[in-house]
Amino acid sequence: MIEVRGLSKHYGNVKAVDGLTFDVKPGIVTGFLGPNGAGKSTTMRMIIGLDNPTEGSVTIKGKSYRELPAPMYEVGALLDAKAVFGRRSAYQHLNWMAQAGGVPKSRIDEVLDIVGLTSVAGKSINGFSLGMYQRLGIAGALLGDPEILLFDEPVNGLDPEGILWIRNLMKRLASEGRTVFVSSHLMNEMEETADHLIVIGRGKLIADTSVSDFIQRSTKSHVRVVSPQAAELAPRLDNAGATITIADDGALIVSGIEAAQIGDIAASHSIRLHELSPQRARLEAAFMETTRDSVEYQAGTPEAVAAVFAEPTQAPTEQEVR
Amino acid sequence: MASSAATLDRSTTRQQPNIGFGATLKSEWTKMISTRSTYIMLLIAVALAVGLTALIGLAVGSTYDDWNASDQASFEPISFSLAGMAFGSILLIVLGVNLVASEYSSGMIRTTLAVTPQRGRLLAAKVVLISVVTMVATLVITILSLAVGMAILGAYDMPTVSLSDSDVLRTIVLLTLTSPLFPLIGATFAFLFRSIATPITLVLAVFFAPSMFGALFPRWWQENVLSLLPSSAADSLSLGHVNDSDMYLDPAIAAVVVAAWLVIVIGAAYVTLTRRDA
Repeated sequence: MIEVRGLSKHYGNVKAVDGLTFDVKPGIVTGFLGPNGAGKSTTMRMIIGLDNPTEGSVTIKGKSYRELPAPMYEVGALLDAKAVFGRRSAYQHLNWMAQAGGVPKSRIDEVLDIVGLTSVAGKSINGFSLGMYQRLGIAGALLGDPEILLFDEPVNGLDPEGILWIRNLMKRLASEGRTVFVSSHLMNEMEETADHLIVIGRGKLIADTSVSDFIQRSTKSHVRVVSPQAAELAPRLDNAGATITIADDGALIVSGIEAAQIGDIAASHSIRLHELSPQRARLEAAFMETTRDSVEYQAGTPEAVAAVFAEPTQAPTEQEVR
Repeated sequence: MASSAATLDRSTTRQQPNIGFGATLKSEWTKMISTRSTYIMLLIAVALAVGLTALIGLAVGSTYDDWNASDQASFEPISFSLAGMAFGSILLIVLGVNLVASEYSSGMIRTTLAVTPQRGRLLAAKVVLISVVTMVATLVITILSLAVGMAILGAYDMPTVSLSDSDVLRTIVLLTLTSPLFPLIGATFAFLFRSIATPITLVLAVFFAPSMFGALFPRWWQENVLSLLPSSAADSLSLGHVNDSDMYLDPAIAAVVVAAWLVIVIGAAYVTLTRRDA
């Protein structure tokens, strides 16, 4: 259990983190969602005592991180996979970590096996791909077999296989009863992995809710209707209480009534339908709706906000890659 | 991967270990010996110091007969044999700086501080490690330099001192004991500046400036200001019994001055490490 209370971090006049209060609970994957520059990494650094809060506190089972007698046994963190000294082998890197954390040497082989790096354990880290760096970072986080795991943008720059592996690992770690706290600016990634969401924008808490609630609450779902007799159908749907807008391709975007009801109305008036598709609100859409006012560097238009989150499966922006 | 699930299962009765200074020191030792640059720097330090002493010995030995009587009379074989020492010391300073600066250049300091959040313990481990490595290297360098130096001087029938002479033994012990001063100043500067170039430049300036330019200052300045710099204080401790200089202090005072410098720089590193964001 991580308890964040009134946490703030100011850099001069900039409030990178602004009065955050939330808990991260065991047994589930908690997603930490926000656009680039929202304060996710700063918050995570404060959780493990790297940065000092301007105000407020973070405690891990009631203690501040710097007071933990055996921190590796409590918290494993992958904040920056590239933050390793390259002219060392993977094994040697894990070896100094294990020694510093009081972890028995036998555990190094175990974590290398878990992350699938056993065959390259003796190789210099310099030659590793980004995915291998991530795996090595995760191996380091798992060394102390900790109850709490923090991952900052773990899928950044990974190939689909790597992304799937990390997703499954996080779910498995949570199912073992651990606290898993994972940050991302990729909405669809959180939709796949997280059970609960902490959403922040411009350092402030926007939502602390389950994923399904977040989607339901934040946006209305709608039904897309294509009909050659749209002009006849629209007033009848309007009479039934629906709200209708017209999409660029001429389709009706209907909200307020269910797809089944629309089909029945059309049938009863012998109106032909070419498409009748309920559109489930995506987490992404919900997120954009909620953080519209809190995106840093906003150009002031909804299109600009949309651009920030366009094509979320593509390579991350430069800002987040270190 | 089939066995992974089992290895991830956490036993609820698992006992947390007692992690103390020893674990941190051991870890810092592992970090040091698992990079090749450590060995390269130590090797160059020894080779440079001993090699230069040998070269200068050969040059001086071949011209000794042409020296006038007063120069021959003032020839001091112990400090002469340690002529290459300063160059070896530079490498040891670079090693000390690098053991801290490499953490910052790679970003590894964040992993280090996540694993060992007790800043004081980490700093103490770095200080002890750098001190021990520097002292061992200096012990080897001084013994080899004196042995090689005396052998060459002897071959040219120049004055020599036996390696078992009390002045020689005293020199070896004192040089070894004072050797960590500059590598430690460099390492603490690396904590302050988080880079390798600035600390090395600064510490070498502090290290060499007094011996190079000290004599240009009026005597009062040498006795009362320059003598308080770490280099002159350390030299008065280690070489005061074989050399003389206006910048040398009484050994007891010199020891206090050296200790004061260490307290200042290590204290500054501790405060910075505790308060500044990593």
